[in-house]
Amino acid sequence: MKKLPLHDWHQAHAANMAEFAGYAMAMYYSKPIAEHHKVRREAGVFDISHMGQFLVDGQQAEAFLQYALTNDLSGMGEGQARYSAMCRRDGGVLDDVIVYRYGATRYRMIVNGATREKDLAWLRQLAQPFSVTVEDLSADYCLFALQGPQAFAMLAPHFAQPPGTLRYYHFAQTKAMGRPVFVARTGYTGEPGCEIAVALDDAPAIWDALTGQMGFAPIGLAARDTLRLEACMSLYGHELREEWNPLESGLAWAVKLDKTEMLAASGDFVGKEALKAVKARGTSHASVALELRGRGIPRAGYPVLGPAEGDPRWERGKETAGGEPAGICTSGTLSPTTGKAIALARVRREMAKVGTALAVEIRGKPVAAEVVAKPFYKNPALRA
Amino acid sequence: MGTPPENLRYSEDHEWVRLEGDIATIGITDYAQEQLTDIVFVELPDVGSNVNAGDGVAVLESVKSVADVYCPFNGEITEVNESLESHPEKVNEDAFGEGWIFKIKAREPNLSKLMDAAAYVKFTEEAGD
Repeated sequence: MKKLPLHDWHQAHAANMAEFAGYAMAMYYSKPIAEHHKVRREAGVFDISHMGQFLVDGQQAEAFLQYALTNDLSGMGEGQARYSAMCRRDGGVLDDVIVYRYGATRYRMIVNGATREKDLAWLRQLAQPFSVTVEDLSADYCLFALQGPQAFAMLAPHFAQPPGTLRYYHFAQTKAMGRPVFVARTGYTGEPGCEIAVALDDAPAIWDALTGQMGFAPIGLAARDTLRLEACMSLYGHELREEWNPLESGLAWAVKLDKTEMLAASGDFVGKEALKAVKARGTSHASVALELRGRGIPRAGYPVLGPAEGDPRWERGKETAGGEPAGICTSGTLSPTTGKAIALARVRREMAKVGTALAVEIRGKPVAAEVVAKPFYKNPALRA
Repeated sequence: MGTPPENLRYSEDHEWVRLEGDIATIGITDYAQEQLTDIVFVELPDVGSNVNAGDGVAVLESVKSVADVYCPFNGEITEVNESLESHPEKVNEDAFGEGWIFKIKAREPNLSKLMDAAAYVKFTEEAGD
């Protein structure tokens, strides 16, 4: 198992460590639910240095990323960030990423930890015809997330440019404690906050200041997962997989089939033909939010049946007219914020409407569930 | 962590057992609840159901994970701790007391496969964490 640069600190402070994305990572320092509430009510810091960071540099950087990613990067200003899917030629999702534009010839890219090596190889292979290089910065930087309604106020006195002055999905290169810091107003909790990248040499001092004088509680991966799930943010390997396309995985908003700018030299973006075909014949599945109406907790991998037991149309094994299962839970938990049992699920399109009564099979028994509007939790200050 | 009481017996799956006559009360140890963390859901067996030694008869769920509670003896479920359905956190707060899970009328209960407190402490130390 690999170790994060601040491994010794986590080992000394975490109550529980486990493997994630190949790294030994803190699952929690105090208790998962207490950490969840801390972020919703105050603020917390996450060490997410397992994530991959690339620098895409060169004359054709913009054209290359327009080709490699599904979202449209045209119109992005300097200092702007954008979320995108990255697909195979058959439309399967390779990863979900955020790109940060320094200028037309230079972008930073943050990718998932578990997919970093696969992404790097893929991007370098795609980049061959372009005048561009893809450099792996992952080992040179630590990445910390500061999240929660109090985060900006706690950070402000210590940053040359206070992170709270950034607009949502914008970033800046500034200084904290006299050290260079890349700050982006992004996150994975549904709360206002930012993510910062700091050079390896500066990381211990910055982390100590964040968890010391600035007063951020360290938060582990267990709460990170329940926070992102309440906010209905996708987790690669759960909601997003290579076998599934983004149009049926809740990422249609990050696929711009009509983007044309900067694509003239290279033709269409990777996956476009396949995704166009999916759209033309109509999507068969959708990613939905479920709330359980009966007792139990839905978990990743549990079958979704539908409609619910008690409904005259319900019959186990013949959940749909075609005899196919209605779907599968991709993530699930008891929401610490709402106290409800919640899940994200991939279900057949005709069952995806809000209000549809379905059932989740828990240990062989159907438990009533209902499709509800996304997200489960929303802080209006997130984008303010 | 709460010290395992001397008057209980312990399984390698981290259940504790208190045998009084042929009635066995079963719960999970303090060590086990710490490993599970915040327990948010408990599924209890039906009173009157017959169970076999080694069966998973109850389920405890934390925000992150799902764990079975195994029955150490053959027998019939005589009572379940229904208060856990609305207060699953009792298992975290008082694993050896208020957090008991179920009772069974045991047939030929065999304590020899279970550990005493000292052996269990040694067992958890060797398991590490």
